[in-house]
Amino acid sequence: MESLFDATLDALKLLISFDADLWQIIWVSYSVSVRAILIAAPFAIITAYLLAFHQFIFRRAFILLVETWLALPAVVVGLTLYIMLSRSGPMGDWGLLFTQTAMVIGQIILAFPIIAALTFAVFKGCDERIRETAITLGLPEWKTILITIRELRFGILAAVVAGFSRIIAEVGCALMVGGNILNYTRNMTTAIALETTKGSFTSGIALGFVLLLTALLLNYTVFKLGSDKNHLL
Amino acid sequence: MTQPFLKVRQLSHSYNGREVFSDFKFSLSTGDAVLLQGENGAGKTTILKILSGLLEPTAGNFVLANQSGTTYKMSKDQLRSQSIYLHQQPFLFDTSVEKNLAYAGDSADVLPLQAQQTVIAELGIQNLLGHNATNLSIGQKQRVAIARSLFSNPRLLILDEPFTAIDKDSFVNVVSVLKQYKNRGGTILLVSHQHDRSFDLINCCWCIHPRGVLYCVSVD
Repeated sequence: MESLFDATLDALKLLISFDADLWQIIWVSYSVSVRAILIAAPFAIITAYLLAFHQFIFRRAFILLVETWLALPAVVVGLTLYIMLSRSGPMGDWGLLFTQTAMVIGQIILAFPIIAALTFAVFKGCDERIRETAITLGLPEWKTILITIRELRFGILAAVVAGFSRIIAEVGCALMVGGNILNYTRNMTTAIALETTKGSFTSGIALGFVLLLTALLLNYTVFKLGSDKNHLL
Repeated sequence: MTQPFLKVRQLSHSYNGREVFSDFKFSLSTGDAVLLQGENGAGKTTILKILSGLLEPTAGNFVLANQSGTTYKMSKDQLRSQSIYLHQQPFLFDTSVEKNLAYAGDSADVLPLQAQQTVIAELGIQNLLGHNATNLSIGQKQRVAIARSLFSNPRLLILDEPFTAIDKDSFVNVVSVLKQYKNRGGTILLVSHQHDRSFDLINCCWCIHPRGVLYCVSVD
């Protein structure tokens, strides 16, 4: 077995050499996760808004459901989706199993509760004058929602980043419903898992670097936007 | 005598089972400028928020525009549409002062552009228009928030401690624009602990007695 130092060095070389297979894996990861987050985030934010500011039947039950959903393991989501999408399952006719679409659906299910629960906490803890001012100025509901989101954008952005961080790094669901098909559904985490079982650590470490760099960049962006907020008019 | 446009009867409110006030009755007519007085915790801000449609009272009967009495739930939208509530520490959105003022443009009866310019000039905020509203001092925020409220041209202007951070020179101008609003037919209901500063503006005083009775005193 190669030493960790050698493997790390080889991993960096692999990244810099723009190895086609490696970058295809990185592309699949981002393509799937960005699509999932773009779909999940608006629904999760609106759900959080409704739960935080509107009274309706079963509201408390919904809040409990979203918070329980947070603890749902990725592999359970993967298993459930697998059963639903497999040929004999209720959605088998759609032919989605082992496709990127199936991976996107799985990641939406995983990202939604994180974004909804964290955004709900942001809304519940916010200054009540935001909404009261919008209401007293006679703004329509949709504008009140947009203003509230705008005022709380850094907290909400942090929630979205937390959701993205979870789905880009999850392996259980992507492996089960994506099938780890090279150049199609193989993403960074499923590739790391596969390469590790083969005893080849180089590309695994290279992909690990990309995941770490992604987390660093996302957190830095949130931090930077928050600290520069007074310059953003 | 002007007909009241808002009559409130049997108004009561409790927080977590603790009664703040009960069975209050009062009315507001066009052109009134009322100072609401009472000790801390007497329910002044609660009354202001109820009348602006932001807080549901425990009980109450509302008569608006000579209609028959209705519950708060039925009157809420009408209360909201005809009043503007200004917080004790006014909230300005995290954008420029100019954009903050533009939010008043969504109201049904917005002040004409020329009158808006006059308000801006009198309140001395023309130099602040390009600034981010969150970076202003509290006194500047209060003036901008008063301007924004006046731009909406509400029937009832509800002010919660609007003068706390306003300096002497600006205060004269603020009272002047509020008087102009009143002369245009606007009604003012305000809470202020700086009674002497408010007497220029008001013509009536509502006092919440510690025993929980609301009584009116004419200042005229």
